[in-house]
Amino acid sequence: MSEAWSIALRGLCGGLLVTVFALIGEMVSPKRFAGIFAAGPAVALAGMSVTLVFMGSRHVAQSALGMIVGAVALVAYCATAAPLEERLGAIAGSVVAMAVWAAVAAIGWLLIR
Amino acid sequence: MSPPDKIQIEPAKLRQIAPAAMALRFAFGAVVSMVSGWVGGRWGPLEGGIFLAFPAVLAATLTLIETEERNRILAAQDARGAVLGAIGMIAYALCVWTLATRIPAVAAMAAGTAARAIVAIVLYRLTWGSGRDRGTP
Repeated sequence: MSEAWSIALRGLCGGLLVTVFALIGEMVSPKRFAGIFAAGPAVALAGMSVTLVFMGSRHVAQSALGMIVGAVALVAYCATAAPLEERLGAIAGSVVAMAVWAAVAAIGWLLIR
Repeated sequence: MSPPDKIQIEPAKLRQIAPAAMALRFAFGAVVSMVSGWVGGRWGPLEGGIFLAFPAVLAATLTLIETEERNRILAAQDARGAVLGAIGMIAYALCVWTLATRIPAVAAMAAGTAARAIVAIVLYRLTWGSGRDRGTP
């Protein structure tokens, strides 16, 4: 199967799993507990499943190493997003926090590559 | 230590969800997954893996909360909970990284999912178990 099909399959699985996690998050209260599902591993589960089928477990392990860096950056994103949301609003706060994610991820990538 | 705010599951809330909001989340999830796959194919699985924890889905959720409910406090509450979920994601990735080449990768991913849930819930209990911030949504 071509790489294009693999990427399309990732998109479909990722979209579906994210929707499932979002629905769970909508049903759950209080909101801060629901937030746990907002940072759920939906994209990771979908991506790693497709990687496993097409590339094998060694690639999955390498993806996971990269994901450790991404997840550390995600913690930085979430930690900065909360005060930024209150100060700037959801959209502007998320954009600034996204820059934090990119910076931390880049530093982490330089350390592990 | 007093008990934390009661965790509730209310399926009736699903009727209030706008289909457009779910479609947006689906689109974000699909795009992030495809970008991760493309980066992985172009530069390698290590680089693609970084994007498995890209916060686009969370950003969409936070934006939707404010748009739908016009409430910055709720969005911030969601982001604080997401910190715990993100720390759980590190546990997930560590589990898969250490186990994927030792046991069946599917089992490693299942173990990682369980580890993530345990870490996030334990941290939630430790953080808000004292009953601070009561009365917030």
